[in-house]
Amino acid sequence: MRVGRPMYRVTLSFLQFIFRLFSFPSQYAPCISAFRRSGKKGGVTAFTDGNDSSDPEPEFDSEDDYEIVSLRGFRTLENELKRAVAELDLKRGEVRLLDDKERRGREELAEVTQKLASVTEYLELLAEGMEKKKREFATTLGRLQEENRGLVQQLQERTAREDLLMAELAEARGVAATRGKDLEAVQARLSSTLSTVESQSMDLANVRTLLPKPDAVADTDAIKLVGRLNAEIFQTAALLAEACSSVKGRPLQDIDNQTATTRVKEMFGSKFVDLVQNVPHENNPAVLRIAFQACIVVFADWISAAWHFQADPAPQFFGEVYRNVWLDGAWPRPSVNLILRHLTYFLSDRGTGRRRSLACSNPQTRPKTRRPQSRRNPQTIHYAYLQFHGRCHPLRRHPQQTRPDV
Amino acid sequence: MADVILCAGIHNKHDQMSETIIRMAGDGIAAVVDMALKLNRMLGEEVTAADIETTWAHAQDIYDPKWMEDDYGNWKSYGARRDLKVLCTTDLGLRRLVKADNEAGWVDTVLIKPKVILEEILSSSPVEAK
Repeated sequence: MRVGRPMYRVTLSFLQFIFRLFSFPSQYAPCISAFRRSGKKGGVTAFTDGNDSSDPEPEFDSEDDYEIVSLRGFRTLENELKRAVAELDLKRGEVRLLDDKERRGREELAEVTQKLASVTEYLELLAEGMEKKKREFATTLGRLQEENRGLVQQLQERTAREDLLMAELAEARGVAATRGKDLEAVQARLSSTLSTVESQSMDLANVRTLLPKPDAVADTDAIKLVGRLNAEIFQTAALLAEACSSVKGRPLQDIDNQTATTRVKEMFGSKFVDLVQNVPHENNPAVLRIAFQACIVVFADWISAAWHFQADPAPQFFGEVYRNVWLDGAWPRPSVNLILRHLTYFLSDRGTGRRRSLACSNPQTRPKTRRPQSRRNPQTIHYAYLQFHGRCHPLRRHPQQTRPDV
Repeated sequence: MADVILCAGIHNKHDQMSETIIRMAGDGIAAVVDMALKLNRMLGEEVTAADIETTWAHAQDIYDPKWMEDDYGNWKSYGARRDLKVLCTTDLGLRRLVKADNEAGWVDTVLIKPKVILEEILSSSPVEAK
């Protein structure tokens, strides 16, 4: 509670005195009368209020009474003033105490205010930090809540997927069990098929031995070989002709000469014999070379077309078989090996009276046989010559070629 | 060949001709036989897509330039004669037969024409060495 100033307290005491003076005029009437007289006699008139007519003056018996009463009033006033001064001093002391208290209070208040300011600043800092932390916590909390929701969602998805996978696993196990049974069945069929394939492969191998092989050479190879053969025939014939033309003189004609002349005439005709016999050969090997070329050509043709070089079996047999196979539609033509293999089996079993089925013959079990090498077996050049003069294989004739009868 | 030698009167003993011929041209004949055997194997065993065979013309065949070749190349000088005949063959020919659905049953292709000597050579100039 704030303490009032000392002047106010004095003023307040004076005002209380004035209030009591007018409230209780009987108590202060002597004093008031004294003041009025002093004022009329040139004395004090300060206490008059100008309404003397309305306020009746007290009546004194004597001058002395009046003075006595005034003295008493002055004394009372003096006492009142003393008490008021004492009270004023007391109040002044109190006022000083109060001022001290007020100063200390203010100092304390300032200190407290400063502390309060510092505390307030600290609290503000704390509040700011708290606010910041709060925001951070709110942010972190939001993020964690978001993550939590994501994790929860992932967990739910994974749980759902796990359920789905478990269902699929169960289904797959069922399918696997079914497949296992199917696999066993397939393996059984596979083993059966493998055995079938194996047997069929064996049959195929048997059949392949009977199939013609693809050509290993081209026509140009045969042409080149025939060209080289012709050149060699020419060289050989020329060599023989040179050797024969260098022989001096002619021996006496013998039976062998007549027989040879008959054979040559049968082979090449009378004009050829005339050419050989009538043209002089000494130092003129041309005719002999031509004759030798003709002989070697027939000889080489026989070798190149021979089925085999054995005396038996009859060569016509192979030729007929080959022709029949060729004309019956086997094309590409059957290889000579194939035909000869068939014929060899047939011929090898023919002596025992058994006839082997060629198509079913097994190369693993059938006996090895020698390899026939010829397609024809003209035992002599003379035979080859006769072939071309009437008993020739039909395929060896030119289709457009007309042959005179011999 | 022995008959030709005997026919020409160069020798008169047939028994001796084998040794004589071998002595004269044994290597050449062996080479010819070797090549002929090789040709036998080639045409008989290695060629199956077609029937390739050697050809030659025999004596007194009508000369046909489509299928033969005059070894001396003068058949055109004989004019329009169509009765030219073959005396003998000097070089082997080669032809290729392929089965077909035509009238003949096959297609005949000449790969090498056989070279022949015509009989007219006897009435022409003396035979000279090639």
